[in-house]
Amino acid sequence: MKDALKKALEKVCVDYADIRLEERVSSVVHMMGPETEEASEKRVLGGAVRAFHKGGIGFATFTRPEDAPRAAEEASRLARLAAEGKDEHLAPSKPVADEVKLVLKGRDPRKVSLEEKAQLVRRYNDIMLGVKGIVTTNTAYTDTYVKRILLSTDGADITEERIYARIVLSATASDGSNVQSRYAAFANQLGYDTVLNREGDAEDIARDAVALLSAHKVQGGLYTVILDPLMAGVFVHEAFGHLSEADHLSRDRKMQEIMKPGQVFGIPELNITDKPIPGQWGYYKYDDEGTEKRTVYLVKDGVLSGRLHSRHTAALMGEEPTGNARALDYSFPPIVRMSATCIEPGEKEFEDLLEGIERGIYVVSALGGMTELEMFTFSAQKAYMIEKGKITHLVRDVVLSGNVFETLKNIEGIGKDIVYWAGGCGKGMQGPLPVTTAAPHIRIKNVLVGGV
Amino acid sequence: MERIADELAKQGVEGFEIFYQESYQQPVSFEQNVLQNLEFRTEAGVGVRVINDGRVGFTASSDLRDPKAIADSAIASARFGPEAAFSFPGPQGIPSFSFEGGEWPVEERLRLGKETVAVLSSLFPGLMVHSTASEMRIKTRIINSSGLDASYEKPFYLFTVYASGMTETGYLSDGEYRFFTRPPAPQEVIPQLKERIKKALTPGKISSGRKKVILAPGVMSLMLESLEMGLSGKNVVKGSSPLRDKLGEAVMGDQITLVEDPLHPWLAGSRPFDDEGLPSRPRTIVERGVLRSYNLDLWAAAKLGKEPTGSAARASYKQLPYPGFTNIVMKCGSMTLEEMIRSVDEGLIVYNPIGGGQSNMMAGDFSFNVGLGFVIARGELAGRVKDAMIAGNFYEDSHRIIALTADREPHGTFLLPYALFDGLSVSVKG
Repeated sequence: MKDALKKALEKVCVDYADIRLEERVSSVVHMMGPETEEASEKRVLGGAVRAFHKGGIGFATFTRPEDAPRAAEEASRLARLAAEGKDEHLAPSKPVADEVKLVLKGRDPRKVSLEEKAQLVRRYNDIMLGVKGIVTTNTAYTDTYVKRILLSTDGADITEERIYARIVLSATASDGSNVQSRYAAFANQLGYDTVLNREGDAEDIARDAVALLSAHKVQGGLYTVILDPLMAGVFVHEAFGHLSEADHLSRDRKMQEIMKPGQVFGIPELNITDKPIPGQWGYYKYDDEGTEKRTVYLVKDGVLSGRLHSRHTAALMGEEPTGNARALDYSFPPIVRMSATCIEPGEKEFEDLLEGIERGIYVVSALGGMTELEMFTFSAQKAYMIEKGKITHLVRDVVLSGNVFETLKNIEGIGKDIVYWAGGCGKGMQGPLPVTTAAPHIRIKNVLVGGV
Repeated sequence: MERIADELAKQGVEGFEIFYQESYQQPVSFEQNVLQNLEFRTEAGVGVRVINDGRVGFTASSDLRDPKAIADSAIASARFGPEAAFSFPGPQGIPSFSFEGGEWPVEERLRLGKETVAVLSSLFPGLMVHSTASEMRIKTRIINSSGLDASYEKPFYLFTVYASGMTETGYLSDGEYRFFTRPPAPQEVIPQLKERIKKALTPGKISSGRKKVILAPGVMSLMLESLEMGLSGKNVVKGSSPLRDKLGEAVMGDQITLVEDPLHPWLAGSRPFDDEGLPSRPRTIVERGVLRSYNLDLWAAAKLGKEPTGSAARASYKQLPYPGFTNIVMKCGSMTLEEMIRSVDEGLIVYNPIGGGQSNMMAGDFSFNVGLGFVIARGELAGRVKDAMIAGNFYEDSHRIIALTADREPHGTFLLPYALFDGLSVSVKG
């Protein structure tokens, strides 16, 4: 198989080309309310050739491996056509030959029967349905095995295997007119054991959803907020991670000026990284152009110090590739994406963060987030009012919004705990891509909360 | 497909359905003012549902070389699948329908991209222009054990253009997209985009409180996404829809009349039959605020004891069908947009939301930051609004709609007027 793919690349007449062949085998068990929606196994096989010529990118996919030579020809033709008088390059990246095998802690999800997965989902689902006030649930188990072969004209020859296992628990409560939901997900690349022993979480989620029915809607306005680690993780991903993706900056002089290394972005305790964390949801050893993912300090001691690159954006900006060129699957070309984006832990205890807050909000568990680079919004699953330094009552419908630059500078305190979160990131047409966020509790002043 | 069908028949299943989809697309992408990518993407695969021992099984595969493996996987999955509440329908009377279609060769799309970049970047030298023009084709074929065998080929044309960068009023990212079954014309988007960006370079100011707010079709579409969740037969059966037991009742403001038109000549959601093979026909969803119809696929219809509405949709061949909208056309009003703006003494108009889909959408709640919006003072646009949030509940706030424009604009598969609300909640920083 590999030899045939190598041959397909030999014929191309462009500066650079690579070929990816991907096999994905997944299983799904999904229940909604008392019924099973789906219990199935699926298999997708496909590949793509990407060619780069003087700054033009050509991309062609194929679904049958024997069509690889045709795709290679097509991608090369398109790359030359897209070059159009440009004279750009890819930053050098050491071509690697490597075979990355699965490293599991516990059982391989592929060795667990669909029957056992179905029983597990039913158990969690029954727990949530058993809580009074719950009208429906969404309980979904998925695992996906990915084997990606990557070959390039530079000499890269990488086979990387990954396996993702995930359980999503979601409960919806209703009292007639009002409908409230809560969800949680547990996911990583360590194997089947990560989805086990979540009975307590299922119970908590269902009880939370019922409690939200009687919670007040939050009043809009400016607040000092404490974000829990999951929310802080979404914040750093949305508010700063996307801004650090160099494909927004590589030709934009004004934005480069704003995102110049050395600019102060926050208090000296603030450190933000994007790094490879083996076993976590967003992990990969090599990105989709064969560059090894390395740790990047985006902010070091409050000062902007790095960003995320593909080989193309790195060359355009005269910097080093960071291994952040990722494709959702074989059918898309790689673009600059995050891996595991972290606020590094600080020194503060949770009680220290609460101290002195006259009227604030403790925001728990992210529902979602979105950015338009400078402005971001993210929403919480639930939140509590903080009054005179004490957590008081539950509130709902908390959506936070702000300007990234101001908000980062408004971070007043960084906790010492850290929690990893498995998220799905969308960018362009490519989502959800597995990413990890990691953060401690953080406290931010002057945050705009939307509400009625 | 026939070989998978033969295999399933041989194994004696009670019923089966094979959904085949093959797609190709050729995007031409300009990024940050330069031609970046030319692509040729293809994908093909089957999703197979079976009914065996009274239960439904499913599998999907892009590897059609081994039909027996696909059949076996579907049958094995039925052991743990849901009880079969429905049976697959026989041959249907499919309406005769043709997509508008048209020619949009690569050379023309390249030229269009180049012109778009040239026009916008010369007008706004500080901004980066991004544009994609793509031609797509999707072939769909459904066969099932009741003798249904139906297929169609659908053309798609996508044109997106947006400009982004730091300006005097802060970071700006504004654009338009058109997604039709005919090639979009650049004059449908470029002139209004130019006007909007020009106006966005002046800052404006507004205070917090309940304001008159005009929502553009792109913002109104968020509300319809909430409605789509509420109308989903699946959510009605499961009890999570706020619209359950509300057929025939007033569930929103009487300014709202919505018609689903799956046979529209050029809106992107058109199709002769749904993703379970049932024929498409136009129907009224909401009439002057009164709920007339849910979206029902085979499963939901069987559970509710009603007829399916031809609403089965699939995100891809890899996914099971679910009930969803095709094209939604909202009844228009009588004002022009200029008259509507002139009628507002103090308020704002919002074109783009940031983060609209994150609140409790099932309940109809919305809460978003104003991505691009303008203050309206004494009937005139008076500068760009930044750092403002608008929140409310669609079902409640739809009663505050006091006017709709006569002209409608497409947004994805929606064709909607601008709507003027009297008193939406606006929170502003500072």
